[in-house]
Amino acid sequence: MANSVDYDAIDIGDEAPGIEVNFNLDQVKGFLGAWNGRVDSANSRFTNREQAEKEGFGGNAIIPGRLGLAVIARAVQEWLPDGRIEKLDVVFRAPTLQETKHTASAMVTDKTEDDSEIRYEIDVYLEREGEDALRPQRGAAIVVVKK
Amino acid sequence: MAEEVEKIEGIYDKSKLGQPIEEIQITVTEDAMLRYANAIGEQDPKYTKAGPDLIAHPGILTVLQTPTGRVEVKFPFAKTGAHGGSSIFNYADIKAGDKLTVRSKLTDVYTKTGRSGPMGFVVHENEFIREDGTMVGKVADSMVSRP
Repeated sequence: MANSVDYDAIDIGDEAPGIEVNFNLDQVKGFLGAWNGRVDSANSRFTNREQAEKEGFGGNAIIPGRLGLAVIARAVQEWLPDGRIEKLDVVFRAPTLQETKHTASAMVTDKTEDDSEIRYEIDVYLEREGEDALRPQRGAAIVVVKK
Repeated sequence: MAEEVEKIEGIYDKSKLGQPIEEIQITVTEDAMLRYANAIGEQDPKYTKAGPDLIAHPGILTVLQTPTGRVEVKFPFAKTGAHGGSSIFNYADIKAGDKLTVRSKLTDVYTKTGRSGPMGFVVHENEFIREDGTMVGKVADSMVSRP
């Protein structure tokens, strides 16, 4: 285990430091093309602002739900670097807009431990910055840290 | 499963529930692993440093190539659809060059009624199995249809 993380000290109610993100079109295209280097034209709600507006997503193109999920996974993994994210469930409750600040974070809701591992149950979310603090993505994760 | 779905005849072929739909073989390349890590802003060297110790970020399961076949489900009220959420199950590290069999199946169909009216959910799952028979992970994607 990484010497810098005291997993014994991370307990129920503790929150991750969080990661702030603000995705632009180039980053979204990079994500969509991650598998084979190509962006499918069918993904225009993510790559074309006018198309996103036509589809009712408001004034900006949106990010794929999977990209928000990935950032949530990043936030959890940075907080618990020796842990394996065994399960991550995320519901895409609302469109997540590009060029808008969001924070991905998590909170421990349960912790169990035996001789070989520590198991954390964690609530996760992606929260949009602003007065309404909308959480367009929410879910839960199970992270296991081997001793 | 919700009562509403059970009462609607012909909405989908129930014999397909839980049955394999399609299977493909893919190879996870170092390039794809690095593109993905870069696209999500990952900085941990275990995901970003090329070489024999590189492992794929768990979120990559959501962007790996998967079978295109789906079981068609026709909710009578459906006019729009969107990706409602994803669950990823991460069982083992994926390394560059891993050859995976990807198997898809329909795992659930259900309805809910929210403030905006009825919603129909269709869940398809992809299993990722390495050549040695290890299931390295799976992803369940939920598509939601609304009036």
